[in-house]
Amino acid sequence: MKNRGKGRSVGQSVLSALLVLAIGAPAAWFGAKSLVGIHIESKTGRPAEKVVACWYCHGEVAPAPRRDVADSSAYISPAGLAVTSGGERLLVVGETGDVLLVVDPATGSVVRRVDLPGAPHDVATSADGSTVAVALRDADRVVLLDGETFEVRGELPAGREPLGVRFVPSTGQILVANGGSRDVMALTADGGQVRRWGAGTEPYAVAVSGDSQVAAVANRRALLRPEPLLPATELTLVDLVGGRVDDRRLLMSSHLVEGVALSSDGSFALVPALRVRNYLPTTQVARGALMTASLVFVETAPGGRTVYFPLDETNAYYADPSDVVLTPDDRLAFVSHGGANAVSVVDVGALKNRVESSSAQELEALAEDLGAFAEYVVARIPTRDNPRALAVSPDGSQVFVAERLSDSVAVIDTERLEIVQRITLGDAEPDATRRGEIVFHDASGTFQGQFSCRSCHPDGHTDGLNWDFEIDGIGLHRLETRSLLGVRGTAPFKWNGKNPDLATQCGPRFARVLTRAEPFAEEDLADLVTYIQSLPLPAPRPVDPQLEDAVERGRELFFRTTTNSGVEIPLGDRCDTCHRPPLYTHRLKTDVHSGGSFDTPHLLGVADSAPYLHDGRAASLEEIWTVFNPDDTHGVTNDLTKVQLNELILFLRSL
Amino acid sequence: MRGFVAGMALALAPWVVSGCSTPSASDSVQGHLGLVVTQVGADSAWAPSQDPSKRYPIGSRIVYVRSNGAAEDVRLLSGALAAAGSPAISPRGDAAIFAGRADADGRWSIYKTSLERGRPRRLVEFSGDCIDPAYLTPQRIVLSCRTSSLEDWQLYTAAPDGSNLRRISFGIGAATGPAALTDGRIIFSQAERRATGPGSEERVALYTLNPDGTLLEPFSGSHDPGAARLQPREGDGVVFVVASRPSTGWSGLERIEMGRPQSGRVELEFPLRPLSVEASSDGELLVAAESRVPDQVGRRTAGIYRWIPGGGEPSPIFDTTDWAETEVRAVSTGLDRASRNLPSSIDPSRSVGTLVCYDANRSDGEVGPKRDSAVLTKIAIEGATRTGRSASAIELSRHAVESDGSFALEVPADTPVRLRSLDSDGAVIATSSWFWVRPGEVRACFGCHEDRESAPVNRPVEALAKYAQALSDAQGTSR
Repeated sequence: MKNRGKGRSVGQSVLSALLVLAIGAPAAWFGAKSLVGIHIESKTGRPAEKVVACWYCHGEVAPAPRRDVADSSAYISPAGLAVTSGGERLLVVGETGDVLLVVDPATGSVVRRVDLPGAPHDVATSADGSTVAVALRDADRVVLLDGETFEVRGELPAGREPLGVRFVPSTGQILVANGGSRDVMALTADGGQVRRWGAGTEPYAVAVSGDSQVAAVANRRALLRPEPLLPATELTLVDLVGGRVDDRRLLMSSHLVEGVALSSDGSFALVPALRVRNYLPTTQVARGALMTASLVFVETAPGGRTVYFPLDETNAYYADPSDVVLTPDDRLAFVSHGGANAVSVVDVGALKNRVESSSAQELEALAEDLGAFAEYVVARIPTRDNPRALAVSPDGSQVFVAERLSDSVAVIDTERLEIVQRITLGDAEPDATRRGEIVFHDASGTFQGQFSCRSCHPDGHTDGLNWDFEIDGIGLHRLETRSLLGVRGTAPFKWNGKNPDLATQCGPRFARVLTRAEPFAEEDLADLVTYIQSLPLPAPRPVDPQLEDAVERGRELFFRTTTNSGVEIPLGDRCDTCHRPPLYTHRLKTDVHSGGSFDTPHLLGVADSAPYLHDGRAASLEEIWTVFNPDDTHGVTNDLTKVQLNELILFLRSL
Repeated sequence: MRGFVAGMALALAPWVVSGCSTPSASDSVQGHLGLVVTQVGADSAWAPSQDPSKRYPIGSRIVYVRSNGAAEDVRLLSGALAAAGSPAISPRGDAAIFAGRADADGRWSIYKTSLERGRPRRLVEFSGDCIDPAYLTPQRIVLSCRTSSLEDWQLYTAAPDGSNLRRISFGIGAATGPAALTDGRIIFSQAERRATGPGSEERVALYTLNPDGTLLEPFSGSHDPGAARLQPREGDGVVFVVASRPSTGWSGLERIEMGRPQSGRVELEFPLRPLSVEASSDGELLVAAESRVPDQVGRRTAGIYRWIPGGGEPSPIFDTTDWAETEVRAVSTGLDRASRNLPSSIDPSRSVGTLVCYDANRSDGEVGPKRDSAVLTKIAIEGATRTGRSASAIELSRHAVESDGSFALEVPADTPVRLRSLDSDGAVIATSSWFWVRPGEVRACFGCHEDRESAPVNRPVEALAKYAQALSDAQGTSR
């Protein structure tokens, strides 16, 4: 009896415990959830849309590092090439290796190494061979070296982020394309600034005609143009004799314009461009539905035609066209495809014939004709990883191809149209970050190799374009591409904040809705995530000493709790509630009445990531508040004076 | 038996070398080098066709021919089956799958057998006929099945053991001869019947399809009435196909450029009558071909040839007296040209798909609407009703076309539909081919009968702003 009673008692206890667990655990869970919800609301001033773990807000989060002039890596990453006037030396600048390598093209050996801290991005030689100029991207300078000894002779101040450099043969002036400050400078070797012209978005490369009459500047990213205007990239044409911008030719639906070549007489320019179809939903990739590679033929004379020659094929794509060179006789053009690991060889005569023999309507149709390549593409030459910068030998017999992520230069024989030599610049074994960088730049992960991660995120940044993703309903929510710079620690991802980590963001679902191809292999995905997390924030913008006080006043406005009239600003309407330091995001979704509730973006490097808001409707930081915040739903700002708003923006631009 | 032509091992070198590129599979390649061949009795009546009974008369069989050229190295793979054909080699090169029927009146089914030993075993359980199996990936096969002789052949996919059979095509007209493309899609032959008017002759054209049945696209030959294109095989940047024009008796070997499949199609100067083709990675072809003249006793003869396009006469490598060799597959691992495993984009919970047309006025002008001759104002969507093998159209709904030529509408999934563009009086401007959408699929059309080698034009599309118009009452009148 006793035992039975004890057994019953134990059974009752177990049953009770189970009951408590069955009822209590969910109750405790829901209680905790509501407590967390209350806590979040108390800290954000807005109802919690999502309950998150404590560490989500209270864990230690370190922002990604900034791009730093002092950084260099084990890899060379050849970014710019030039050949000396006699063809005796090939000059290679290594962007991550911080180095200028002088190569004997006859033997393929590196004969001289010059350390150049500051991410050298492009290199040029003067017509007489006496001077070499190197654009230092992170140092905002151009370094001049002796053309024979390669000793550094001096340096010139450039604009922000100089990316392209070329000499004007007749004057010896140095043209510099400044990607960050969006302008082009004409400098003299003694440091004088002759001219400074405004250019498009991210001036990237410069070409000068052989007769020194014309310069053409390729701007990598599209101009910020309100919808429903098509995106367009500017090709800036400069009259070097008159010293003025002659034309700002728009390359329609174009993006990722990184190269330009001018014919010897300057009558036409060739520009590789990625042509996007961002107004159409991402329902498929096949048949060039998202983007195609083109070579744009631009007649430089006023009123000249702009003709788009597709480089892709109906069932094969040559992603991320990057640089272009013309042989000295203007007979052949070579175009590197960074995402396809190939160089296309184009018969320039065939391009001209087509332009001359076609009506305007036919040329318009040509732009989308994926079968047209057969008329003018005479060869496809496979390369190693990420071919970008090109250079042609003075006699036109060789074209050099910088295989950026293989740390090598391929040498193409322009008669045989094949690689006849490969120059090894470095032999560092790729680590996870480098392997991930290769995955990021390789288009083979998308259907028929149409695009790579870089196609929309050049250098990890943003294309500045809106895309209509099918997954949330076609025609709805055209979403701006978010920059990946400094993305580490800013989870969740996507504008709807649904992806908790980058592996999810880039995983099988991504393949299903965007790349329409086999998902990344597990190890490739891990490497890719490692690379994306390594992407640094843009270099800090130096604050003009005269504006330091204004920036400080802007900072106070950012953290203010009362309006100008002394009224307390509700917690949910203060800047720093949602854009909480150190990342300047609380990583939760917020509805600022822009058309839905969206993940709160971080503000680090925000000055470089225009346009703004989820659909890129604000072309500038100013527009966020002057145009799209009439009811103070995106922070209380309507009481600010014009000067105060400028100060607030100055502060934001300093982040 | 006339015997093997000397040097067969050398002849097969390109197929072997490509297979050896995968070390893990090299053993099986070494052990299984050779050909898998369909043989038809030399006295039988046979003809290239979508109909397996015509292709594989009673007595047809599958044999495995090892490479050393000895007569005893021919192994019968189809065992005691009454008829067999359309072989495919497993990605590891150690087994074959093929279509066969156990007796003269039996159903066609899919069988699998090891190349080296054992008898064929039935792979797929299906209530009708199944033919033309092919490997998509090591994890998936594609085949063609029909529920009865009154129904059209449709494409299905299945696991390599025959389980998990899923239908992926829903067209009008027979869909046969599927093969994997390296980009992950399926290429196949689709018969089309046009009821009346110019071009009403039946054609068998090449189409592509994703393995989940989405994104049906014409590949080549859809504007070639009276022609049939069968057994497409991908080579390096090209597709080879056996083309014929039954009304004239003509047949030939064609090469279609992947880069421009509509305009880049050329007939190769192959001197024999091709029956099937297989491409190696270095441009060589293996062709099963019929002599253009009968043998001494008046029988049709066919054998296996090696041929380099433009490289002179084909070299015979396997030919027998008592059999006509009508199909050939080379044994290699196949892993060097493995097909990509494309993700599925269908939503099984839905019963409709969405069709978005960016500009119905965009046309190549051949049969599509012309902006200057008629103003397209509405789109009628039609479904099909079947009576035996004939199909008639029923209008399901009409939809307004936006001023920019765009429209977006929901379409019943997994059923054949077609579109008719109408002018303001309701007169038909153009009629599309039959197509289908899968559940949840969003299908974009760039134009109406536009050049299929063209990309879409980037521009704002009015209909997208009015997306998700519900399909109105699916009532209509039979045509």
